[in-house]
Amino acid sequence: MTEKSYTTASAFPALTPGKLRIYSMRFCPYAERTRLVLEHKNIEHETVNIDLKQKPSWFWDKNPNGTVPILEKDDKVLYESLVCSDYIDEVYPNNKLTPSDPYRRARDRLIVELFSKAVTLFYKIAYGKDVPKDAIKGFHDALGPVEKALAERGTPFFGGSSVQMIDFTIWPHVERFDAMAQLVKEARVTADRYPKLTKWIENMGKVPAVQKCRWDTPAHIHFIETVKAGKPDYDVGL
Amino acid sequence: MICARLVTRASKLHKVLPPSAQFKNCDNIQVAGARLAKYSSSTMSLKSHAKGSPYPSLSPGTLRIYSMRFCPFAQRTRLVLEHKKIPYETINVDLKKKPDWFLERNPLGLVPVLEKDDQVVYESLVCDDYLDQVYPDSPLYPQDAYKKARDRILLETFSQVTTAWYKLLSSGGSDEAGEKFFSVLKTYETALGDRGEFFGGATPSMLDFTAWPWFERSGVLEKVAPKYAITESNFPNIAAWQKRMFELPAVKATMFDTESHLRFFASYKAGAPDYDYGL
Repeated sequence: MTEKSYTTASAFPALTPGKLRIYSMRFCPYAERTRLVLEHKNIEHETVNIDLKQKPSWFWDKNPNGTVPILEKDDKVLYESLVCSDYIDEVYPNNKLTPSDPYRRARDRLIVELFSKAVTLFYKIAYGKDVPKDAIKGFHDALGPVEKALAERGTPFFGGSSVQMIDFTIWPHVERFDAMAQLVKEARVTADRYPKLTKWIENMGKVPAVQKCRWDTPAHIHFIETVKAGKPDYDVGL
Repeated sequence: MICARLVTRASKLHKVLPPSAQFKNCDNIQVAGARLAKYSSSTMSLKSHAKGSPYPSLSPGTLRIYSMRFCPFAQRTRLVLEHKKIPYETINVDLKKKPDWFLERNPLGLVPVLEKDDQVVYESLVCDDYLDQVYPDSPLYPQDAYKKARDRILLETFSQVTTAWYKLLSSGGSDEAGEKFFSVLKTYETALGDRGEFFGGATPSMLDFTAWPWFERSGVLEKVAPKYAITESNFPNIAAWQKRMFELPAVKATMFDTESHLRFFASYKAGAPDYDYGL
């Protein structure tokens, strides 16, 4: 199946009965969350990449919000990255990623909620025409509690001794922090200020699913710059 | 900051409303509510706790919610507690003068917050899911993984409705905000048509309780934006659902009437939110 992105001109690629499909975009961090789960659990699937500036009409039919990721299999369609990831973990029980304890699950979600505040600022800093003065301080104010939460857990991963859903949820945006810091130096996530996150980044780099799904910093910088220029290079290298 | 979510732009509700005849038959709105809130301990004062007040001690094994009587987000969790018949106690918090012990528990400083022994949970949707997982009676999600995921999509995207609701309120009823509000409501109107009397079908589910608080406050929005009122002709499914929701014991136990919501909102706009109105 082609990796090239489908546009308004593209016909709908027929579904194979019984086959799981993810609608994605190669550089989308939200889609990456679910792709990480699929890779980690070794789930067979096909990928249809979408040109997010020229979305096919059949794409809107599946998700009226027009976002990736979308999962589709036979008559089932799901969207929203966290819903997709949780569904996969529930339906494919190997390599379980979600804790069974409700309190642990709740606290995991709170860490993701804290992290989401740093994500908002990441977009302002990495993609903004001019970086708002307080965005950099805001970014560090938001990331501080996440570092603290990881320190409190005292484990190599947010999820514990091995990678869990919370790690795959947080990872994609962190993967892009280095690119952001190359564009805006003051936003750097340094080892002295973020010792636990720095070690976690190292640990995540060794996880096979991460190695499979990630892009390196130059690739992220290129993509971000093409987005800012108004012509996202969705199909670079293809 | 009073409440991070409420928008403080000028609105038409700057006057405090005159006493209503409705109140003659109900000396104390909250007393009536408290009688209906069967699962909330009635031994504790509902008056809001402000900065400087001592931490109200929590007995081992007791579930507590930190709340504010008129907060729609906290109401979501109170609805779940009542519907699932979970025993709990309520500590209302002065959100203009937050106690230090409250901020220790939720550094984001928002209600609702749940506390039991050494466990603390905040964020309304996280609190609600936590309760649903820990207390299995009257489950609020379908058993089927796919159906549950479809419910969760509607839950995740409901923030589009609350955002549009607040924008319509703060805009003073602008057409742009009104059109946006109506367009995001369509998904939920259609969903009710597909699903039945409630979003959960024959019985209410998490989505019903997650959505409810803003529809309870319709009267506040309609004062500012009468052109964008939800009616039987423009949103028949939602209008019928609103009527049914008012009949639910959990709603009766946690609700305030439109007059009370208007009074609270007016006090909030005036810069002095009357958290203890009616007590």
